[in-house]
This record gives sequence, structure tokens and C-alpha cells, in this order.
Amino acid sequence: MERTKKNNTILSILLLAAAAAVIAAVTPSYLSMRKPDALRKGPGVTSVAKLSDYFPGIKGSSGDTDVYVLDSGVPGGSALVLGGTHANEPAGYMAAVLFVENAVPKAGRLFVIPYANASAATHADPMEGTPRRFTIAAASGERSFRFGSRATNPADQWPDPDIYIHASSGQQLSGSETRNLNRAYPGRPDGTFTEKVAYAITSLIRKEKIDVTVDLHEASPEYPVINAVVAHERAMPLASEVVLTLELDNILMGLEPSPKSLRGLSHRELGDSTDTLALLMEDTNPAQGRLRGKTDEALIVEGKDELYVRAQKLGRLFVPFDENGWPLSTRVGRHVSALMATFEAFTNQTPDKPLVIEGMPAFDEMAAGGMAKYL
Amino acid sequence: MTIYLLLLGLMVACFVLLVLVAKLPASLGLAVTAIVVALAAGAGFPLDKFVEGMFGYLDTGLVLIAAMIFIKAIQANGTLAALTKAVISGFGGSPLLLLVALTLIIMFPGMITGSCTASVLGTGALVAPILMQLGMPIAVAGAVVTAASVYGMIAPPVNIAVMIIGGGIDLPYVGFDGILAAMTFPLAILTTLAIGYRYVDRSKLAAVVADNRKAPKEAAWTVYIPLLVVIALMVGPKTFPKWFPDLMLPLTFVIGTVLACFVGKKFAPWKIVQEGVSDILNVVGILFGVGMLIEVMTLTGMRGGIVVGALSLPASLMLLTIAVVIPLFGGISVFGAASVLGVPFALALLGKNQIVVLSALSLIGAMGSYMPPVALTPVVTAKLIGEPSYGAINKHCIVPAVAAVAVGVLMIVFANPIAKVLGV
Repeated sequence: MERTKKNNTILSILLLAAAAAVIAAVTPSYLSMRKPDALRKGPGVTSVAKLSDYFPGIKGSSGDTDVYVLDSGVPGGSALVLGGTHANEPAGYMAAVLFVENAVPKAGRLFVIPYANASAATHADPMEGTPRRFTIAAASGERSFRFGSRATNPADQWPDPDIYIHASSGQQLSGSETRNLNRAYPGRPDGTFTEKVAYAITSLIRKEKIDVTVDLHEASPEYPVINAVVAHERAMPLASEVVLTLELDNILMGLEPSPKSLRGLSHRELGDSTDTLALLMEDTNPAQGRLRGKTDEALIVEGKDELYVRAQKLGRLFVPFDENGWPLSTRVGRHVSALMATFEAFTNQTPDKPLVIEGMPAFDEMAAGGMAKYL
Repeated sequence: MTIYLLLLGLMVACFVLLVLVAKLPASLGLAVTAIVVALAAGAGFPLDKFVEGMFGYLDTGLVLIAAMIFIKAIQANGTLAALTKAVISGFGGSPLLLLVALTLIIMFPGMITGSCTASVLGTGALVAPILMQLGMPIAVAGAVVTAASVYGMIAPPVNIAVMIIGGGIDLPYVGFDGILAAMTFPLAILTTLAIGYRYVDRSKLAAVVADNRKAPKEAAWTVYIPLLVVIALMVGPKTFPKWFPDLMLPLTFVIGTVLACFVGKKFAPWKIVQEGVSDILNVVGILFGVGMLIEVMTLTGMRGGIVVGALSLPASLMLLTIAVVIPLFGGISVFGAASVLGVPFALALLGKNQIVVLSALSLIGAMGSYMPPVALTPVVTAKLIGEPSYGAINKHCIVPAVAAVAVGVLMIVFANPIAKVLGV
């Protein structure tokens, strides 16, 4: 009896030591995601604010993030670009990064938040097998960017309730959506971590009198709302012109009205609770789909996947998908072109508030793999 | 596709060998299988991914541990015994009514939490002894508890599988209550009656009721306080979401356990904690092993390979695939099946009423609760009632489960007419 007890004690100590060794071995890998991606301030950046400047309630938290201001000094319209609402949709934040590093405003003001949910970029989703970072052989040298999660890091907001109840509408969703920034708008100053981040973004839009807000996303190829602009009803004329402009450049983009019954999303709540024209843009991301094959850096950057090719042949996808896949450069190019078309359309429809941005690459160059040149 | 089939074959063979031949516990079997598959697929030994996968079930593990400690506490302080007496007094006049009432009582925690283990560990623990006193063999009583708990998991107001699939296709969790109630309550009651009614011995029922009346009252009403507080903390946030704080299940059960220390019979709290953790640890281990395995399946592309393989079948076989593959995948994780398979199948069925289709998919998916290797609901039930083999419980559940899958398939086929009749 005494011997068994002693053996159990030794076994327990050995198991605890093994657990401690595993923790010590894997912790640096997880913590590496807390190191922000190194962004370069481009020629158009006139100042860098913090999101907490608009709502001090998030100051010092991992929800606080950089807001890049590109002010032309010439009176005109104002736009806000949100990348990284979902940190596992890289074309969204890479397009935002490209604007920060290359755009030059000639009229009006442009605000860019590359990592709208900065907390979501600090962790990966369990059971998704995604790499922590992906690397681009850029003109300025090799650059790596994080591949995060759709939701806020549980280290910042935990645990999830069984049901997420959207505060202002009472709509019920799966509890995991509690940490989804794009279900938290317009946010609450005394709400959850994610609701506070949403509230800070809403406050920025109100304080800076943002005319157009574009939330950049990606979707899995089997998701019906994909390669599309989703527009609040007040933003429909703007979105229609954007889609037509893109079509003239052979960039096919659908147009979807923002559903009034689906609450908490940027295109619905920011349009309802502020004066901004709210748009959300979706692209195609094979690395977040449920039908994908091997999950690695190549899938994120090159966007090729034999299982998706097969699923396309089976008629299970909502976008074309061949052996060429959907490379990141092409996807970012689509977002960049859609944003440029948005600014152009806004200027056309509101001539007294011009919003003129230059310095961004054309789609053809991006589709030919030209993103690296602009990083 | 060939590589994914080979990896799938390796995964199944490895797990079976480790568990059945090497006699490893299922949790370790799953963990070792995950490592073997990762190595075979050329992914190396991604230690951080193994650990990350386990975190997918951290919350569930905490709920299970806290719930098991709570159940041990209210067993030790006499709450369960007192409640057993009260239920028999209230419904002892008719075996039929008693079984219906007991079924609904078992379902209740699952309905509120969306968790079948909450049902098993919450009210299932109370009802199982009554069922055995009525004459049901232990495995039959376990089967009744298991089946009602599985239906509790998908009954309204909370059906997490529907929420997961709905989240994947942007369908809000609105308008499901009616169809889910119409689907689950009749099936749950019929299942209980089919499994257990013939075992109810009227003379034993009469004797139980008589003994119950004669037995001296041992506990004051205060013994119910921990249970009532736990129920209030579970129901409150759902009923009054605007102002009732949601303390979440682990803390709710901890509060219940602490209260149980101050009412009823005295017990040694530390001993109860040790017993509770010890009893549920293997189930939590299985969940962590499943997390590792799913992480590796996703990393290597096996997950996508399985889904695309299932979708590759001819359209005429789609329903058969849904009926077979979703419950089979439920053997690894019911909610995982909802996420991995439920969403693509829901997308494939977009022409049909989505509220009915998602409800049906959740019904079919819930039947995966019985499937090995995880078989979470029967495993927890077996542990709770002291039945050595969960297979003995499953034996009684198979026919009703197959019937439920058939109902689910018919719901998909006739989704639009059903939606019209029910107005959803």
C-alpha cells in the first residue's frame, strides 16, 4: 500500500514535469503571435493615432490598435478602411497594409486600421491547423505576417456563453460569435472586450465624420456570400457603381443588400447607427474553408488546393476554382481595386466631397503576382 | 484523394490497434494516433499544434469536471435522495405519466445548456435510481437517461449544433423553437417508452410508492437550495438575458457545490472533489485526444478529404451519406460533425427550407452521440450509474437512434411542405 502510494507520487511528479516541459517548449510559439507585424509608414501617412484615442476604455489592452491617417490637406470626403476584422482573412488586412505603405491622398482623408480586431491576430483557432505566420518575398526583403483567428483571443475575453445575445437587438447566435467583432457592432462602452473594440470603431466614425466605411473580408469558397460587396441600403447607389466599374475591368463582384434581420454586422449596424455609408467586401480564401486540403503557408499565399478543384467540379462552390487557385496577390488586388472604385464612385456621386487616392497598383499587376513589389 | 484514404485507413487501424490490442485508454489511443498520422503525412512532430488542438475542448472539460463534482456533492449531502422521493410521490400513480415526466426532467438541463452531459450529470443522475427501482435493469435505465439527454441537447431553446451550422451559412438562430420542439419532445418520449416501458413493474412501482410514503423525512427543504440555485443560474441568463448575469456552467456548478457544503448531511469537500475529478478524468482525456486528432486531420488535409469524398457521391446518395457519415463523424465530435459536415451539407441543400433542414441535420448529428470512439453521452451515463460497459447501454438505443435518423432524412426530403405546415 505504502509502496503503491510512493509510486503514484513519483508518477505524478514525472507527469507534472513532462507537462511543464511541454508548456516550456510550446509557449514561445504561441507568444510569437503577440509580436505585431512590422508595417512601414508610406508617403501618404500624415499621423498614426490609436483606436483608444476614440474610446479610452480599450487603452493599454490588446484591443487597442494603430489607426493610420492619410490626410491630403485638401478638403474632401473621408473614408475608413477596416482590415483584420477577422485575422484569418489575410487579403483584407494585406490590402489595408498596401494602402498604409503606398497610398497618397490628393483630396480628402483616408483612415486605415489594418488590424481592426488586434486581439484576434494574437492567436490561432484550435483544431484549424493553421500556420502562425506566412512569408512574402517582398521587394524590400522577406516579410512575414500573422495568420490569426476569426475571433478575439480567449486570453482577452473568456469564457463564451452558450448563446450570444446581440445587445441592441436581442438576436441570438452561437456563443462562439460573442468574440466576433463583426457581430458586435455598434458596440457598448460597458460591454465585452469585443463590444468595446466595436464601440471604439463606431466612435471613430462619429468623431471623424467618416463618409464611407469599408470592412474588408474573405470567405471560404463554399460560402454563398463571396466575391461580393454587401451594402447598407443608403450605400446601395455607391456599391452599384463600384460593381459596374469593376465589371468594366473584368473583375466580377456580386452585389448583396445588407439583410435587416442579421444584426451586429458592420454593414448593418454602422449604417444604422452612424451617418457613414457602410460597405463590406468579401473575397475568396481557400485557407479558411472546411473543404481545404493541407493547411500551410503555401495554401495561404498561393491559394491552390486540389480538394477545392474537385469540389468545384462537383458544383459545391460559389466561385470558380481551377488549378491556378486564388493567389493572395490576386485577392488583395481585387480588394485594392474595389476600394479605389469606391473612392472614385463616391467622388462622382458627391462632387463637393472629393476623395482622391493615388499610388496604388492596378489589378492586372497584382493578378500577375505583383503584390511583393509594393511591400 | 488516395493519400487521404490511406491516411484515414492508417488512422482507424492505429486507433483500433492501440485501444483493442495494446489496451491503451481511448484518450491515449487518440493522442498517439494523432502523432502517428502527423508523422505519416509528413507534418513532422508539431508539438504546439497537438497542444493547440486540445484547447478546443478546454471549456467542455471544465464544465464536465465542475458538473461531476457538483453531482458528487449533492449525492453526499442527500439532495438526490430527497428529490427521488419527491418525484415518486408526485408522479407515482401512473407508470406512463411517470416515464413522460421523468423524460422531460432528464431533458431539461440539456435544453437549457445545449449539452447532453449537463442532462446526464444534472437530472439524469436523479432519475436513473428511480428507473432502476421501477424494475429497469441498470443498462436499460442508462439507455433511457442517455436517449433523453441526447434529445435534451437538441431540444429548444438551445441547440448548439443548429447554431454552429447556422453560423456557417449566416442563418440567425431565430424561428427554430417550434420545429425543434415538434421534433424532439415526441421522439424523446416515444424513445423512453420504447426502451423502458415494458420493464416497469406495476407492483414494484406500488411498492416503491408505498415505501416512499412510509420512509421518514430525512432532509429539510433547505437541502434543495444548491440545486435550485444551479437551475436558477442556468435558466436566468436565457430567460432574462438583458439583466441576469451569465456566470457560465463551470462557475455555476462550483457555486452549487459550495452551497451543498452548508445544507443537508455533512461531507468532506476535498474527498468529493478528488472523487469527481477521478471519475470524469478519462472522459476529459478523450476530448483532449479528439482535439489533437482533429487538429492533425485539418493540418494534413484529411478533414477536407473526408468531406469532399462524402460530397463526391452521386446526388441520389446524398441523403444516405448524410444519414451515415454525420452520425459516424459524431463518434469523434457531435459539434465537430455539425461544423465540418453540417455546414457543407446545409449548403448543398440550399433549395430547401433551411430552418427545417438545419433542425433535421442536428437530429441526425445528435445520434452520433452514441458512436465510438468518444460516445460521450453513454460513456458518462455508464460512469455515473455504475454500468461497466457503455455498449450495454447503446444496445438498447440503437433501434430508436436509427429511427430518429430516418425521421431526420424524411424531414430533409419534405422540408418545404413541413415548413409550410408549421409556418417556419
